Amino acid sequence: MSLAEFDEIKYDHSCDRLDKPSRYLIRKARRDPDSGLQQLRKSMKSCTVYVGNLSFYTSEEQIYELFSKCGTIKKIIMGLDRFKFTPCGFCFIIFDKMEDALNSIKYLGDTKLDDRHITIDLDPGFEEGRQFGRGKNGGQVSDEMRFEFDASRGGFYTPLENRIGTNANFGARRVKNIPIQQEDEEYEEDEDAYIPGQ
Amino acid sequence: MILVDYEEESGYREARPHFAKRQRLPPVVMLCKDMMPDIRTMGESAKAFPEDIKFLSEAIVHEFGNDEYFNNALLKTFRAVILEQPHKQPGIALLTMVLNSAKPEIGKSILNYFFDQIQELLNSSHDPDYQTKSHDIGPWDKIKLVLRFISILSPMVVPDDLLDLYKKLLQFTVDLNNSTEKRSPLSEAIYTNTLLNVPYLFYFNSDNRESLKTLVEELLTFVENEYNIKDTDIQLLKAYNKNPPYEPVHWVTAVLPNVKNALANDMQQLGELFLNYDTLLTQQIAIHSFNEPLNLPTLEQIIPFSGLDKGFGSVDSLWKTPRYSFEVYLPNSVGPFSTVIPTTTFTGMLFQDILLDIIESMEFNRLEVARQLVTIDLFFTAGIFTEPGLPVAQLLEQFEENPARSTFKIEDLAVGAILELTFKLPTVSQSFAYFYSLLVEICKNSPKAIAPVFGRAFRYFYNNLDKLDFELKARFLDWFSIQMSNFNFSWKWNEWEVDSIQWNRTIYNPRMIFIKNLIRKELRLTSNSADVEESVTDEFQKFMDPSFIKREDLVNYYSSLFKDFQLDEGDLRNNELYFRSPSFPFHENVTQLLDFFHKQPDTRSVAELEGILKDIAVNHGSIIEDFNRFTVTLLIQTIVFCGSRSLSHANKYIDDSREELKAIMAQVEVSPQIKDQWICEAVVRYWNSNSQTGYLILDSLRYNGLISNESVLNFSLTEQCGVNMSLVDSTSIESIFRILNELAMAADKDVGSFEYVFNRLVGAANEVLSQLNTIDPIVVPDLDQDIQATDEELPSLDLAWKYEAIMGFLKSVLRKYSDEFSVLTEKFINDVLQGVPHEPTKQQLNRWISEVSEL
Repeated sequence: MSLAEFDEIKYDHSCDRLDKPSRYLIRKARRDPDSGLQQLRKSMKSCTVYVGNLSFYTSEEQIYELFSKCGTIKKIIMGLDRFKFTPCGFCFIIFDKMEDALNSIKYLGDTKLDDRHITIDLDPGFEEGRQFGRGKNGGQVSDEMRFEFDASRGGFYTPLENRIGTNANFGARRVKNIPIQQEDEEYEEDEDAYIPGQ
Repeated sequence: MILVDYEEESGYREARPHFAKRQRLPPVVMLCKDMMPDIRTMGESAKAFPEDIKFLSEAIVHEFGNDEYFNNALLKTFRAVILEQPHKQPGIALLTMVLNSAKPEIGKSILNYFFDQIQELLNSSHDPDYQTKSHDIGPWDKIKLVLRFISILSPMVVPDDLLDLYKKLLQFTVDLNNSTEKRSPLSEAIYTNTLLNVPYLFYFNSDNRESLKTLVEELLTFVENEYNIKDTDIQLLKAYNKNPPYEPVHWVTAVLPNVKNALANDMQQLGELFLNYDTLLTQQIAIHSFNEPLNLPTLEQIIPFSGLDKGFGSVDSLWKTPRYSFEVYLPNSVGPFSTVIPTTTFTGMLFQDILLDIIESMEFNRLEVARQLVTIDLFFTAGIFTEPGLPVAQLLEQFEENPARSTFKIEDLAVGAILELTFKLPTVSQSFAYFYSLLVEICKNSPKAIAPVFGRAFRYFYNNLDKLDFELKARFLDWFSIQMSNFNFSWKWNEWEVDSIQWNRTIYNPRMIFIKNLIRKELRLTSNSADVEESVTDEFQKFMDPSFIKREDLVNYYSSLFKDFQLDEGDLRNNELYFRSPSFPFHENVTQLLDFFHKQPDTRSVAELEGILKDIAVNHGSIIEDFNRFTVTLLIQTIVFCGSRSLSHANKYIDDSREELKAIMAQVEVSPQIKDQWICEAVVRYWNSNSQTGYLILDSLRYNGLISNESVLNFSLTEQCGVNMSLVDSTSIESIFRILNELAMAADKDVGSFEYVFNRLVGAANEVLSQLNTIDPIVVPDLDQDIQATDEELPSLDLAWKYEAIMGFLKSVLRKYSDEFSVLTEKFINDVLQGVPHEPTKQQLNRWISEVSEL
C-alpha cells in the first residue's frame, strides 16, 4: 500500500534525514491498510521514542543521564520480561516536546550506552501492555532469534544442550526447538515481533 | 489447450507465492533518483570530477525543460547542496556554467531561480509568522550562501548587475547600523556575510574580471568609509573569567582587512585557496542580467527583527551577541606554529564560516556532517593542510625539516568548529546531544587520527579549568564523560595524578571538582562500575565512592534523629532503608509501613498510617529526638525505599501516596520551609551513594506538590557538612539549572526563584569574603603556573577558589536567565548590592547586572 508522503522521493536536502521512520515501521505501516499511514504520521508527531538493543543491566538512571541531553524527559518506561518482570533490553522514553523526541533519534541513534549501540525509533505513543516482551519466553522476540552469546542480554538464548559442541548432543542439529528463521517479513507477521531498525 | 489443462490440473497457480506487484517509478523519477545523488557528491572524488561534469551536463541539457518534475528536482538539489554543503558550491557553479554554454536558457533558469530565492528569503526575514526548524540556519545566512553561489557564477552574469546586489546589501547594512546608537546584530551579520563573499566573485577567471575588480575596489572603499564598527565588550559573554589564554578575534572588525588582504597582490591568497577549475570552464557566450531589481525591506520593516533574537535560524542567531572567535588549538601549543588557520586571515575565517554552516544546516544527519567536516580540504587547493591524520610529533619533525610546509590540521579545524558551537555563550544553537554525538561520530570514523586531537582539547580545557566559565565547565564535563563512555572510558589518568596528590585536601580546587564529578558521571553512565574502576589509576581509586556526603556525616545525620540510642553503623548500607534493619528497635513497625505502601492505593486509608505512626510515638517516642522530623524522614525514606528499584517505581509510589503524605505532613506542626528541608534531606541521604537519583526523586516530589521549588534550591545552596554542594557537585548544580530552566519556560513567569538564587549566592560570597578578610580584589594564582602552597596557605587558597566559583556561578546565572533578571527591579538589585561590603565584588556584580539588558 502507498504511504503518501513517506513514499515520496524528496530533493529538499543534500543527504538523508536520520529522523525518518525505520524500515521496520514502514513495512509495518504498509501491511496495515486501515491505519498504517495514520500511525506513521502519529509517530512523526509523537513525544515518545522506542529505544532498543539495550543491555539488560542498563538502568533508567543511565538512560536518563544520556537522553536528558536531548531535552526534558517526562517518563521512561522500561521494557520488561512479561514473566519475570526484569528489564529485557528495550524502553520507551516520553519527552516533554515532540522536537526532543526527534532530536534523540537524530542525535543518539546508534550511539553507545553501556557499551552497546542502541537503536532508537519513532513511536506513535505508549499504550499499557507494550512494556512487556512479546517473545515466547517473556523477553524480546529478537533475542529468541539470536544464536550468538551476548553477555549483556542474558547470554545464550538457545539452551546449552541444543548447541553444537556439547557432549550430549554431539552431531545433533545445530538448532533444536527454536523457531526456524524465516524471511524477515514473514517471520514478523507470524510473531508480531517489535524489532525496530531491522 | 494443453497448457490450460496443465495449469488446471497441477494447480500451480495456487502454489505460486503472491507477491505484490512492484510499483514501477516513471522514467523521469528513476532518472532523478539516479542523477541527484551524483550531483550531491560531486567533487568528493577529484579524479571523477571532470567526467561527472561532462556526463551530468550532457544529461541535464538533454532533459531540462522537458518535464517539470526534472526541473524542480534539479533546482531543489542545487539549492540543497548550496545551502547545506557550501564547500561544493564551486562544483555546482561550474556545472551551471557548462550548462549555460550548451544551452543558455538553462543557465538563465538557474540564475533566475536563485535570484528569486534571495528575494523570497528577504521577504521572509521580516515575516512575524516565519516558521523555523532545527536545521534552518536563518534567512540571512541563506542569503549569504545563495549570494556566494551567484558570485561564483560571475563569468555568466553582467558585472554591474552582480555588484548591484552587493551595493544594495551593504548600503542596507550601513543604514541599519546608523539607525541605532547601539550595536545592530543584523547589520553586523549582513556586513560580515556580504564581505566574506566578495573574493568568490573572482573564483573563475573570465573576461569580466577587470571590470569586477574596479567595481569591488569602489565597494570596499565605500564600506570602509561608511560602516562604523561599534565597540562591544560584554564580560558576561566571555568564555574565560580571568586571564584568557588567547585574545579572541572580533569577526566584524577582522573581516574587511581579511578580504582586502585576500584580494591584494593580484589575489595571490585566493590562488592558494580556491581549486582552479578554469580548465574545465567552457566559454560563456550568454551573459545574463537579472530580470528585476532586488527589493530589500525598508528599515521600518526590518528594525523589529534586527536583534536576531526571534530564533529565526541557528546561524543567524549566533549574531545576536557580538561574534568572537573561540579557540581550542592555540598557536605554539605543540610547536612553534599554528595547527588551525588563524581567523585573522580570509582563509581561516572562510573555513570557520563553512564548517559552522555545514554543522548547523545538516544537523539532521550527523553521520554525513562528520564525513564532510574532515574531508572539506578536498574542495580547496592541495597543500593548505598537512597530511590528514598526521600525529603532532610527526608534524613537529616535518616542521623542523621544512618550515615552509603547511602545519594546519584539518582535524583540528573541524573539531575546533564543533567545540566552538558546543561552548557557545550565552546559548547553544542545538541540543547538546547533537554536538556530543557528532564529536563521538568523528572520532568513531577515524579514531587513530581524531582521538589525539580530542586528547589535546581535553588537556587544554583541563589546564584552563580555573579560568573557564562556570557553565562551560559543566559542558566540558558532559562532553568528556559521554566521549569516555563511548570509548571504553580510556583516558591517561596518570597525567592528572600530580594535581590529585597536590590538591586532594581542598574542596574547591577546580581541577579536583572536575575529576570527582567526571568519575561520578562516568559511573552513572555505566552499569558495570568495574569498567570505570579499571580505567583510573590507583591515585583516583578513592574517588570511586560517589557518596554525596562523607560516611561519618551520614552516621551523624541518622544519629541526630535519636537520643539515648546508639545506632549500629554497620546497618547503614547503600540502597537500604536503615530503619528496617533487624537491630533497629521498631523495625516491625517500619515493616508495617512498608506493607502499607505496598498495598493498592484504594485498599488503604490515612487512618491506618496514622495508627502505625501513633504506635511508634507511644512505644518508642523516648528515643526520638524530634518526632516531627523523624516522622517526615521515616515516611519519605520508606516511600523512597519502596521505589528504589527504578525511577519509575519511585514515581509510582510517590504518585500513589501523594494524598496520604499531604495529610500526614499537614499534621506536622512546623513551618513548610523546615518540613521541606527535612524531606530533601531524607531523600538525598537515602540516595547518598547516588545523589542524581535523589535529586530526580526530589523533582518528582516537586511535580506532585509535596515540596516547593525553592526548598530544593535552598537544599542545594545551603552548606552541608561544611561544603557548598552547589559549587562542587554536578548533580546539585544540574538540579538548580533544571529548576530555573523550568521556571524560565513556564507560562506564568515568577522571578522570585531567580531573585532567591541570586541572593543566596551573593550571601555566600559575602560570607567567604568575611572569612578572607580583605578589601583588595581576590587574586588566585593560575593553576597552570606551578603553585606551591604550604599547609597553612591551603585553607585560604581554597576559600579564594570558593569565591571564584560563587562569582562564576553568579555570572552564569545572570547570563543564562538574562530575560528574568532584566525585569528585576532596581530596588531589589540595590538592596542586594548594598549588602556587599567588598568593593571589587560590588563593582563586578554591578557591571554584570548592567550588561544583562544587552543580552
